[in-house]
Amino acid sequence: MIKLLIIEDDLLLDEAYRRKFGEKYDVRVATDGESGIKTASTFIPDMILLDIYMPGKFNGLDVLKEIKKNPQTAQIPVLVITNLPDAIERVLEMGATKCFMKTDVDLNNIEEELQKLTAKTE
Amino acid sequence: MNNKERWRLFLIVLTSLFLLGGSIYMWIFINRSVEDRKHRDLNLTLDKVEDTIRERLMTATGILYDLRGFLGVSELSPEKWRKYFEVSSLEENHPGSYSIAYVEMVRKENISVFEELMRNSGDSKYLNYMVFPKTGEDISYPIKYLHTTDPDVSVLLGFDFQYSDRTTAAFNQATLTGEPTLSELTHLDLIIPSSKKTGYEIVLPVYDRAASQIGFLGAWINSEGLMGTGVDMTGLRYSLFDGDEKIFTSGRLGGEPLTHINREVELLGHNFRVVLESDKMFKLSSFEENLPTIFLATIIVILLLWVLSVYAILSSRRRAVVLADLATRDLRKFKQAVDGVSDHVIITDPEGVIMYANKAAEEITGYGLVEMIGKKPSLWGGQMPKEFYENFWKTIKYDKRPFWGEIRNRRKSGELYEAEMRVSPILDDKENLLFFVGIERDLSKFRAIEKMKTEFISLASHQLRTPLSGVKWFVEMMLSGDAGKLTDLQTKYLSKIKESNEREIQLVNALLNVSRIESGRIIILSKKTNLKNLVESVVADIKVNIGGERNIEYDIGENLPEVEVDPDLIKHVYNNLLSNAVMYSNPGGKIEIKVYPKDGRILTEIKDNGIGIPKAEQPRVFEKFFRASNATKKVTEGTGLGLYLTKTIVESSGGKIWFTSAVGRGTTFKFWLPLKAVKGKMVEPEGGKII
Repeated sequence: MIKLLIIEDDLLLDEAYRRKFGEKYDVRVATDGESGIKTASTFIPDMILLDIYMPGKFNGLDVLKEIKKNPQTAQIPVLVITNLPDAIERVLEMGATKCFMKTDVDLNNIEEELQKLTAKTE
Repeated sequence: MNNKERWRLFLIVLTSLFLLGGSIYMWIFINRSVEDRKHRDLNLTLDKVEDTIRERLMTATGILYDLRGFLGVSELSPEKWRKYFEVSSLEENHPGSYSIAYVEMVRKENISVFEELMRNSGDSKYLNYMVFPKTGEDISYPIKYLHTTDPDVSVLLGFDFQYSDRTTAAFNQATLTGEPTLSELTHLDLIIPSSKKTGYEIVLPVYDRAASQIGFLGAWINSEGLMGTGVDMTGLRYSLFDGDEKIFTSGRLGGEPLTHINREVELLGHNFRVVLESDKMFKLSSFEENLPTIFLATIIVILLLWVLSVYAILSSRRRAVVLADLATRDLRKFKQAVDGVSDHVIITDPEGVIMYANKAAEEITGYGLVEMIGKKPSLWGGQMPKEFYENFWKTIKYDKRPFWGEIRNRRKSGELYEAEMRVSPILDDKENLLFFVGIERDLSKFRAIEKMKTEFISLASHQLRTPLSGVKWFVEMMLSGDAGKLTDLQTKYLSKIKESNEREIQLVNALLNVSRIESGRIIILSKKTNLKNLVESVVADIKVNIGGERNIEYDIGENLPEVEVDPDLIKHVYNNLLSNAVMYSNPGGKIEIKVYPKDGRILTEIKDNGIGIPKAEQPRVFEKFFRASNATKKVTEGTGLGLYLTKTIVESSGGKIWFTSAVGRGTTFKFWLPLKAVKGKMVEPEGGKII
């Protein structure tokens, strides 16, 4: 199964993710930036869904930076799913594959995107 | 006024008094001198007169001494008496001027014998010698021998001077002093009633072998003889006064006496007054005549100048003090003002050495004034790349132009802070550098507030949106059948939930945009944008949503020049205007879009034939949260923020937006954009800072 790492601190959304993707993919969820980085380097997922606004030392941008720095995880496509419209330009610069506004898309859109990416890599 | 001033004032007053006093004295002196000069000639004459009189008297005195010497102490006889006058050159030198007499002192009881002796002397002159008048006094002073050329005087042979008080007084005086003595003025009418002659005697005592006095020698000078003939009296008249009595007047006036002078003369212990009159008016040159007046005027002028200059000096000094005080006060005011501003202000010399720093500078940099003076601003600098400082120095020192920009500095505590700085070179009229003025505004607070705002907006964004996205996703999952098959009713209800949620999402988006605009965080990221593509994509999106319900036509030139605008923001504008056009028109309605260049700008027109905007409400259409009454009726949901945002974006990009509308007929919105987005908050040429 395709390995999907979801880095999102909001539990409600985490549940939505899990319900939607839990069956189709091998899903891991990290609820803060630090564990997100760690999991990424150990789990080595095929795709990452990344939230930006997270509490704690590391926010999504730091996570993205670390992921891209780490040669092991640098190649993994990262979909940034966020509420912050100003982040879009930045994350794309930093190497995110795509950026969605949480309120613009629903999980079907995200699934579509994941499928697109999977098709690419296969 | 302090002591020094008092002392100075005192000196000035003293000098002034001296000047005044000296001037008055000088004026009197000059006046008198002028008078004297006027009468110089007269005075010279008067001198001569005086000399002459003196000389006459001296001569007479001399004669007496001479005679006394000649007679010696031996027996006196008429022959001897006569001999003297033969031998001496008295008559040659002074013809008729003097009468000389020898007076013997005779006791009353011896008078007859005396008279007898004289008669028998053998000289015919003495045949009828008699002592007269008989006074009855103890001692008589008869004239024994007499030499005179005046017939009136010759009568006096034998006259007893005891009779004349004045002469007696002179005798007594002479006896006492042993010196030649001048008598009071004597009148000959004492003896000769008809005579008008007056004169003076000089008497000298005569002594015998035993040094006891035996008589007197006397010289008689008549008043006229005092003057003699030695002085030229043409046009002059002189009068001799003895006390108030005019003794004598002589001279030849040509006309009326026009000038006169008088002088007190003291001769042989006797005071005379000589008055000299002239028939000439003595005139000096007009300069000399007016000298006293001229001098007086000059003195007055000098004094006035002196007073004026003293006054001027004093008042100018006082003015200088006042001005200095004012300037100092002004300076103090300025210093206080600069000290009081909240921005850091420093003044340095052309090398950058700090000469002055205000309080704010101390507070912001953390360094005290004493630590800063004499040092350079690198004290709190050095945090920027080398090129920054190089550019900075080049601008202010070589180009001599002001430099401004943002700089990062380091406080004394080590804390870094951002500041907005402006340094201006101050030049003199020859464009030489005098000093630099540096002003810095500590942006840390500002930045902190900015950071807070940003964080707030981020937080708000996140906190508001997350639950909305939660609802959206779960509802979508349900509608997709992920939670099982739905009844029609369930589907319907869920759709309503979805719709409502979407509205909420729109509202939150709009509010957050407004927030960002109002906090100045809308950043214009200008990029070369192809408007045609942009509009087409917007239209495409809209068409998806509305299906075929509206007729959208657009007319966009193929060769539309690329505009430097922020595409996301402009997209928002088109989106807003087009969706409004759709929302507020009816099915089958027509929407026209035109984009074309005009006057160096790009003009966009979006026209619909929808419900229009009532005239009364047209002014308020761009207001935040405002919705026209007919709009609310047609589309109940709507934030009222769309046009507000649109207008802000257009204007921030340097453009302008307006519209025309008629109720029931439709609305046309127009806006133009400059080819280069001009105005904008925080234009960042190198790409933007987000977050």
